[in-house]
Amino acid sequence: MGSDVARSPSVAQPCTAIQASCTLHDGCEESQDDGGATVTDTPETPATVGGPDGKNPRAGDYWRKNLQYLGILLAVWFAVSYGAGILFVEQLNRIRIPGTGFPLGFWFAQQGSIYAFMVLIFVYVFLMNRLDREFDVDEGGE
Amino acid sequence: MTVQAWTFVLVGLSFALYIGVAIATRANSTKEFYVAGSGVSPLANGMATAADWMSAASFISMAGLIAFRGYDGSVYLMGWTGGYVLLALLLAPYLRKFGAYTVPDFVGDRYYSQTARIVAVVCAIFVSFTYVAGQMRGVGIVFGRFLEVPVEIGVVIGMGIVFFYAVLGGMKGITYTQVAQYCVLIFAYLVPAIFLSLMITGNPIPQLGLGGVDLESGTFLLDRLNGLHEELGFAAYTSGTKSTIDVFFITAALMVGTAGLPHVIIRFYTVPKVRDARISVGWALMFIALLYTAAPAVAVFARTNLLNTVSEQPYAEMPEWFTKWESTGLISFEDHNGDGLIQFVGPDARDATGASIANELTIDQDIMVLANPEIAGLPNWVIGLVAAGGLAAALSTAAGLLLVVSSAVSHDLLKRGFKQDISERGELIAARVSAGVAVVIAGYLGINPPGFVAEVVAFAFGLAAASFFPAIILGIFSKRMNREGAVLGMISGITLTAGYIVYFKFINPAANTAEYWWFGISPEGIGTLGMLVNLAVAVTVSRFTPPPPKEIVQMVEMIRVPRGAGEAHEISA
Repeated sequence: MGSDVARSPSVAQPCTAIQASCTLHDGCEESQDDGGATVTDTPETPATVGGPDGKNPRAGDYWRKNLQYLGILLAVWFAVSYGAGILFVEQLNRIRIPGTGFPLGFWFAQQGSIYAFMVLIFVYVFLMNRLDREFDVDEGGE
Repeated sequence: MTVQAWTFVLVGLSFALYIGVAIATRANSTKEFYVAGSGVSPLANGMATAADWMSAASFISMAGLIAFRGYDGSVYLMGWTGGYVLLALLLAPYLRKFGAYTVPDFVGDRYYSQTARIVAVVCAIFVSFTYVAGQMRGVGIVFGRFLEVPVEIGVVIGMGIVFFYAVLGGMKGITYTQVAQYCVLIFAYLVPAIFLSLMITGNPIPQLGLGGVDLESGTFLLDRLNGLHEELGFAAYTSGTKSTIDVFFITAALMVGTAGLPHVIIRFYTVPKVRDARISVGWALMFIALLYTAAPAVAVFARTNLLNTVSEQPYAEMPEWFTKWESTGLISFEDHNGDGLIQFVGPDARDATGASIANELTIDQDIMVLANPEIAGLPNWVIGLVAAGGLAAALSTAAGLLLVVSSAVSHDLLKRGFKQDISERGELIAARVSAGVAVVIAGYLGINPPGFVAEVVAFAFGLAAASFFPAIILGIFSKRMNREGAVLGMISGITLTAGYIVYFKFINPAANTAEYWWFGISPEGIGTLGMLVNLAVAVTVSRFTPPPPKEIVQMVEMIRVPRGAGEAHEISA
């Protein structure tokens, strides 16, 4: 689209200027539909990125890392439920979990996916708490 | 003691417990009424969320649904748990940081628009009432069958209890009552499940018993059930009959709908911190999974027991539970071939000469969990316990839903809408009055259930999936998303979903078959398509309309980092 081309140069600049480690234009755009326009239209706001203290220039990195975690965890989420439990259920049903009566696909659909969901949430909690401390945006306290 | 005496004692004790908890935890401010003062520990909130979420449908109906549908029942298991992953990763922490009281609060403030707020309020109220009607039906069934009191009286007693703690205690009272209700319901679900697992497979853990060896035949239980199914002309238990695309879309609609249901979302406003909101979803799913992983086992045990008990047996020799359920109309038998035996068979059943056999037994799938202990001949107290558990599940969910309705009226419509000068005290009174009115309407729906309760549940999930979920996700993950995009997105998602469901369920039910569905997607799964349309419309429209104001962009940046989450508060818009 024409408008994208027109915007691109103005996007790249605030992006590199504000988010120190964001050297590639692509890196800025991967954060979903935040697309170019956001940054272009609000050139002043990034100064306050990082929340109320307004002094965290690494907020962009924090958010990108968060999206990266989300991407990986949601890929697993999709694979165990929609993949193993639905799309490939028939193929997997030919395999039987050794020592049990479970066809593998059926097990994923009625048991395994639920266990995997629990693990995913606890892994997410662990990763995010660590990330919060690393970027000094955690809530402190007990 | 008889079953009825045990039921009276156990139901009475559990009700006394709820009332005691409610008196100890009254709400004194709007903040306590709406979000329990944001002082609930993550673990307690996880338990309360589990009770809030697991309704009469989960407790009473789900195992029955699975027992009758086999693999196709997986959509409920995955759909109603997978949504918690979305909730934990995409919604709960950010909404907690935002710190509002209700879901329309977030939608209205993020999109700086009263229209968006009103659309959200209407959806929240509609979704909640739809859901409440189902809970009241569950209360009616339990009272009618186990206490042998008329359904009307049963519903009035149930509503009286909910009225007491929802109106008095608000979110604070509801939260701690739900913790108690979770304990009652999970105990009531697992005790018979463990009994059955021991009896049938010799393994005390139902989740393992499901994959274990059937003691009677010496083969794997699932193989035995598949064999029975084949013999009787049903589809194999472990493989489904629905098309893959339909299973996919229904699962997605249930997952996304779960993550978009207002009574679930607001639970994560009640914890003190963003970090607590994250871990709290994990606890909630763990507590839910205890029941949800046992349910498919209960379904298989129930199915096997049922086939063994009724198939080809003389009608005249049926046990007491059979005739009792028959009197409620939920079991019916018609002796087509006049042999006095019960032929309970599937559509593909053939006799030795190849002629098809007619099915003579109709069983409402809702009774499977309730009748299970009786079918298996478990002690009377277990049967009473199951009745108390079913009531706990129905009442806890009803209370959570009524709170959404009450806060939508007193907070979103009055305080943030038409009467912004209302005092704190006035708002609290309005909240209690609207909770009271909502209880009465729910009670009416329970006594005179609309004939289409089952049909409209698809509505609740479809609408939550097609309206709230995309609006909230885009509000957090796209700074560019603006008022125009969100409102038009929600309206197109809702219109498509509601139109499709209304057409196939009410206007032209005769055409409700796969050949007329779009891409083979049933009305239960259309919410997924509605959500995709909402997303597409919102993103497209927002590109051609003015970006959101600077304060809104700053607000989005603020909610993306955990630090600074105060207690739930009003955002000055």
